[in-house]
Amino acid sequence: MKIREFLRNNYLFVAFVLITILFGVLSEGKLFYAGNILNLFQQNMYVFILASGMFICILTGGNTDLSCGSAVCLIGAIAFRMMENGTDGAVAILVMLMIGIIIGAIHGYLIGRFRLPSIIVTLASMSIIRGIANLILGGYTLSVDDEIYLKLFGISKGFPFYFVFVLLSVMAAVYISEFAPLGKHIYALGGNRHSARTSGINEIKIIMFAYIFMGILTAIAAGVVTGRMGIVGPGLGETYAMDAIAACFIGGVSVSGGKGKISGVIMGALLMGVINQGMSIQGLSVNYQNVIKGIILVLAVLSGYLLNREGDKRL
Amino acid sequence: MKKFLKLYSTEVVFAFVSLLFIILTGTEILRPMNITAIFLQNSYIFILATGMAICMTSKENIDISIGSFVCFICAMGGVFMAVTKLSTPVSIILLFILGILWGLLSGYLIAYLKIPAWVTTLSGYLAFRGLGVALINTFSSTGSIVGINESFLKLFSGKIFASNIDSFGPGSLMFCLILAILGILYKFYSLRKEGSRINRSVMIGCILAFIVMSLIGVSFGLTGGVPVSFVWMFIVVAITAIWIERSAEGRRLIMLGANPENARIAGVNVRKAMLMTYVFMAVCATLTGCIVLARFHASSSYAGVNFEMDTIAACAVGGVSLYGGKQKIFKAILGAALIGIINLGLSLIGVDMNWQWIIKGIIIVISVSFDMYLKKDRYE
Amino acid sequence: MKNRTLKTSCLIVMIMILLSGLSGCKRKDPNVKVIGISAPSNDIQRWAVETVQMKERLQEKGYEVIVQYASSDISMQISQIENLIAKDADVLIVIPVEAASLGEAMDMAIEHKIPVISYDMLITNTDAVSYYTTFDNYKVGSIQGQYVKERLDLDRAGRTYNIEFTAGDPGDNNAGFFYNGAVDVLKPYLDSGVLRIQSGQDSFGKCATPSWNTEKAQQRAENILASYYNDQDVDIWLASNDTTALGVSSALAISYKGKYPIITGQDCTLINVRNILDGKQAMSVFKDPAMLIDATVKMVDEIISGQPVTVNDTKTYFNGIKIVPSYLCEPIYVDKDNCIEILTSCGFYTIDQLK
Repeated sequence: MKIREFLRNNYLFVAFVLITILFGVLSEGKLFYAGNILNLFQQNMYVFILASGMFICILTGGNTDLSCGSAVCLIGAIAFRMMENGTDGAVAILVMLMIGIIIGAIHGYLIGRFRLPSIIVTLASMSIIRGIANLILGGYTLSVDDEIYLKLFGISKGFPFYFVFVLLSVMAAVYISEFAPLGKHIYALGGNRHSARTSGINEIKIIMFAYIFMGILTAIAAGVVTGRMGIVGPGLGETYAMDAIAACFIGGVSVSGGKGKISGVIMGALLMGVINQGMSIQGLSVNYQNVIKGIILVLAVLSGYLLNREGDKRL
Repeated sequence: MKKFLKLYSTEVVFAFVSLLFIILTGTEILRPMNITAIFLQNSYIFILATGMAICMTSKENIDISIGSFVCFICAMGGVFMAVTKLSTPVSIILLFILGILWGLLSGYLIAYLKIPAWVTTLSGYLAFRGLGVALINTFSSTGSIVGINESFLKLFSGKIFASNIDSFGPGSLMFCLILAILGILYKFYSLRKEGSRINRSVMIGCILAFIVMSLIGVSFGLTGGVPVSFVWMFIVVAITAIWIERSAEGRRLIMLGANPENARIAGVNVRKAMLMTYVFMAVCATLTGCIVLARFHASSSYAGVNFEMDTIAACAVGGVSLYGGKQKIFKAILGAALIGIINLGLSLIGVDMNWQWIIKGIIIVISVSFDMYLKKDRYE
Repeated sequence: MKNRTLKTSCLIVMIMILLSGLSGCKRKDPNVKVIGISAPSNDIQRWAVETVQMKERLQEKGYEVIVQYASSDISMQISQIENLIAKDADVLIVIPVEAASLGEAMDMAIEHKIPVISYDMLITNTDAVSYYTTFDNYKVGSIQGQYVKERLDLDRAGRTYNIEFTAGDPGDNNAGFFYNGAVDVLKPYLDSGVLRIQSGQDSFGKCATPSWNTEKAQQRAENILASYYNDQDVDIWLASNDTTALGVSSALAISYKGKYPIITGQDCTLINVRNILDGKQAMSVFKDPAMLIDATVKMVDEIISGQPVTVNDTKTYFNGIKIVPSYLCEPIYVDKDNCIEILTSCGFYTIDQLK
């Protein structure tokens, strides 16, 4: 049946279209106002960026980074404190990048070299990073007025650099996964670890790369988010990791690694974004939004799995 | 030396950390109220860690939905008792039915459909908290549901052998001593059954256990009685330990963990065993939910927050291997007790909350690395 | 052999320690009174600052003070309160993470006969609360509503105004009071059509912001602005507190091109006060913590010395089990004209902080 074929291959896209139409009708067209479409993009920038990195991590064999949300808060906090004390915006931005790389490197080392489970490592680092961020903020919400920072990451002034950042992040993920030779190694590693290693793929290097990439993207996300809000405060980023992971799974990335495309991830992010926004415009309570998000995640993982089954990989 | 460390790593770490905190708090941690506090405040970790240890018997299986599920159970409990005014026994039965259903569902998804554990339980993590919070907000405008039945509260919180706090209640001591004696008798019995001798090592262990239990009993006696959650904890741990060692399913589970391939060849229904571990975990989570509900006297959207962290930390620290294999429940218990001591100790010293976050995270990483280092020959 | 020796020595050491520990169980000096303070967390500016000040004031009076922060975790707060009781606290001052859920901790306080003062947030669902000190929460909302009414002279308004509401955390007992206080003042004008809510989100549930979270407030505001205010102005935005007001003003800064609305707030958080001076927020409600701390410290004194406790309200605050005798402090509003003077004269901020 041709229709079933089409549905099976593009179920995500179909779902996206249906849901968008649903909310469009419910909101009497308001969903499609230019302002709201812009909102959709701006409110989900962090998802696009973080999911791109998470995508690469998951591809390597089901590895995650649960700490990226806390890291966004930490990186933002450090940058704002520095600028508060008179540091130049450009320097602060460089420091942000460095911190992202360092965090990524530590994760990559522990997970790649020592083979510690990524869930546990990043759960622990999430805790540590959140603690440090709170200590730095001391309970205060900080703001920024550095020209360079706002120009690069801010929303209303001048050229929308933030858009470029999102684009770059996604395209980097595309390049890595589709075109670079590294990408083939990543897929191989995620697909079948044993054969990948025996054929000489350097597992440690790949995992280090994946996590450092994630770290860089986390720094970019930190800039973009804090630039948009103009502030950084305690509790920033609490749901970010889950949102990024959800986008990946809804987008059809195989949960144990080795399968998935970035286009799916973006579609997944957009889907969640539309649902969030649609519900928000309707005035639906945020708690119901969470329930729906959870259910969608379950359905997505289930259906993605059932539709793409290719035999037992495990016992 | 390394061999000793490998065998007794958990005990060594436990002794070391306990000593550390005894010194740091100026022996204050040994005060009766604080010994009681370790159990009163952390019973949930003990129960959940036991469940998690069973769950982790099979390779790479984990359950991070437990915290959110606890929130959901609290919410449902509130709905059953406060809103639809069901009686306590009926509510409890319904809650456990819910737990078993979730266990069956997650077990099925993980064992039969082969969806990796952390994804399935991640969905649970998201969905159940949202559900729990939505339920609470539907039935209450204040963010929590109150009006839990008195009998429920008595069943899952409070104290038995209650005594006046200004005096000593011998009932608690007697109770703990009886538990200790039962435990020792069981140990002798199982050793006999295996045909091993009762050697010095075992004797020392038994004496240690006896002394520890009497200390605990004295502490309870001085602080108003044995906490009900302690009793539940003991029941869960005892049943689990006995079941693992003595029953056929328990033995199959151990085989499964040690070597899934061989287990399958030997006729163990691997998938069913895995499913049952998730049912067991869910049941533990349900029991924890009841205890939390009783402790709060209300359903709250904050219930179960961070339980995953603490439970995984307890298992990691206790040396419950994430790579499957024979689990000693005792290790999970020690790990849980350790986390409890760390929580309490840091609190007594007055360490800033954020530093506690940092320290706990570091402890997890170190202990998992340590476990990795010791078991280096086990993984590929 | 080695195994056994190690085990035996461990055993002996353990016994020695345990014995010494037990013998070291001393009751504290009955002349020193211990005050336990349990706060929800110290990463909210308010609690971090006020608890420190309260501790200092109490120490000046000769009390020993222990402060515990619960990291917004109820389990932890219950444990911490139990630990404060274990440390022989004579009076407990508690700011609950959540009003109804302190169950066993409150039971223990009753068991040990320790008076509990509920600070700022009323502890519900228990008999254990002896007293309540707070700013009049309903009044906070009324002041916000009153400010809007007077600023726009709504009684003699010649036109209609567009208004939006952003309320607080649905789990916070006080959020309802803030919202209702404001709505009750503005209700006549809403009913008569002078004030119109274009988004139609006109109930607490629809306007609530979980955890008072700034980002969530911002997202909701952005969506409302893009959906309803493309070609008309929003004249008033009634935000229940400063963290949500911050989200609203950030949303306006990003995409709104119309006439800037009157934004209300509460708490005089530093970043919002700066916004008030910059014109990005119209007003905030100031609850001078010194007033509340004074009242609480006085209460502690009176409880310890057995004098009658000063309260000024014994009717309003019913916590589900009983009416709690309360002491209410009066909030006031600050805006661009008077904020520097009011906030610096009482020492809440220094002139430098407000630059």
